[in-house]
Amino acid sequence: MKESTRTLAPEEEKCIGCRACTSACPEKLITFSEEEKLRSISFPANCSSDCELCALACPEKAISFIFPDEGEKSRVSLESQTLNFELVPCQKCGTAFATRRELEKVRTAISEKIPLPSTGGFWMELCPGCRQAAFREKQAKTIIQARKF
Amino acid sequence: MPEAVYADLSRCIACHACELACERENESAKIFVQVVRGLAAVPVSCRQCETPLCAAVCPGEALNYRDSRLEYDAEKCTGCRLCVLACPFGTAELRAGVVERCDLCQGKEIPACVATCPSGALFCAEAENLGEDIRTRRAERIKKALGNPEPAGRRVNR
Repeated sequence: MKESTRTLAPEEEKCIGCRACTSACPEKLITFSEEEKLRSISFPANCSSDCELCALACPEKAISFIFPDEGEKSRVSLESQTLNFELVPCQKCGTAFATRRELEKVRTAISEKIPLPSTGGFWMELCPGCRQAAFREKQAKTIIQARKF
Repeated sequence: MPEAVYADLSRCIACHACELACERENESAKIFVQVVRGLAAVPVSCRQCETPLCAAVCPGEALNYRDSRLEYDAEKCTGCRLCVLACPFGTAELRAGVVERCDLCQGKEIPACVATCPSGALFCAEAENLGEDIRTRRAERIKKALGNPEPAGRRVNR
């Protein structure tokens, strides 16, 4: 009884919207949808009692489980939760490709390894496809110059 | 410095044979050829960075840099796609929950794309030896052009 009423509690302040939980959930109960510039991740109110895969997958440890009869009944909403994230558009092609928090996390992790300019590395503003195109363009520069004549 | 697949752009003819070879070998292509402004064909694959940023952001330690080689443990991968967002070259991809990037055809002597390249544009080298390699390749090409033609048959890529 106690276990079947467990509630999935994602913390909005911690969640970066990376969708690791959506691919981790064996029952595919956590879903996500993307519309133009908004990514929504929907968490169910209840799910299998002994599975913690989503919480383990979460890079930010943002998912916890609440058992209502542990004295927190009043604070817990038993409805499914949806978190919304604004997507950052690629500076080149305009495709919305990542959430602001995802990019922030990547930026902090990278700045520990290599010094980044205060703007945070130009490639961070581009979607993966445009990053590849930019690299290709840079590589081709000299050969294009030679072939133009 | 780790080895990586480099391309002599003056020789690439955009035939996409490397993409096909990679697909045959690894189920999906991890090298991508595109023509820039109609003048130069450029193949791009994982640059095998010495300081891999994809591994720096990996929260589950699925990507590990050890002995100048990037190791990937699919079991530990949570599919968070942070590595895809970190790669400056856009060569890491997430397909069906697995991070896909060039691993230089592990277990093979030379990567399939290098072995296939009909124009001899692709080669595998360490960044430090790149200049030297290019010099050797050019010298050998000149030597070949000046000397007697080789009998037709299997060409050896270098």
